[in-house]
Amino acid sequence: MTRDPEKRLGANGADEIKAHVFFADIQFERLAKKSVAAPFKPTVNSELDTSQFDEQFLRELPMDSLVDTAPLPDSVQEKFRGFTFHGDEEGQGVTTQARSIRLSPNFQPDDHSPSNN
Amino acid sequence: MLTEYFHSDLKPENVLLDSNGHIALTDFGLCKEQNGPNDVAETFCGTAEYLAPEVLKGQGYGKAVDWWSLGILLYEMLTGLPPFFSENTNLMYKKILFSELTFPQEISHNAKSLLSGVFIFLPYLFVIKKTTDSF
Repeated sequence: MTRDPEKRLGANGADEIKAHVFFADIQFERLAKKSVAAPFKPTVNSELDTSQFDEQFLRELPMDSLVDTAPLPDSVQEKFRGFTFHGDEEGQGVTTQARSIRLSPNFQPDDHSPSNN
Repeated sequence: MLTEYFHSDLKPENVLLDSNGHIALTDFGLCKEQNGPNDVAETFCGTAEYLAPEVLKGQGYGKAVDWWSLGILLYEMLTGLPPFFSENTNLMYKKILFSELTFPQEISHNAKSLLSGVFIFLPYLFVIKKTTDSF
């Protein structure tokens, strides 16, 4: 058993994943063009309709959690032109979400020996 | 030079549906630029349940972390929970690094094959065999 990322399915490109028999019925090109009818359409009245979001998330206070280290370089930031949120002109203000974490550089799980369960 | 990007934080709450039911990926705040296959990232971030082993080990990592996270996401969509889940985060990290992958009985052969390829690399047992049979 190995978890070597170089041997992981997909390591040689997305085609490895897409060619897997699990996805035999999926027409990826049509999917990318949004020309495959979706099996479920959420009912929304307007762009600001939040009725499809769980109460738990609607109760959360909105807050920015700014990434304190290097922001995305301009060339990368440029890829997100047209997105509803992207960093400001100084390239700062990249948000992350509540569940996202940043491990300290010397992070280790407390014990690297295999667990017994 | 081929430049590719990886997301680094694939998880259910970052996959949204638009009003037509089409998927929109969101939260590229942690995404990385990869200039060639040997370019690795060394800042450690993501979401506990979806972190790849090489991230936990503090090794440099690349876009293969997204395939790991995609596997976790798919497993969660099929079963209801990520495969190495624990309420105890530290135990979960150990399970990500060391635990065997197990499947509930209802998971199809083809799904097991795909997930095994992503998590534990058994290509000659499962992946190469292209079949239209469904189990």
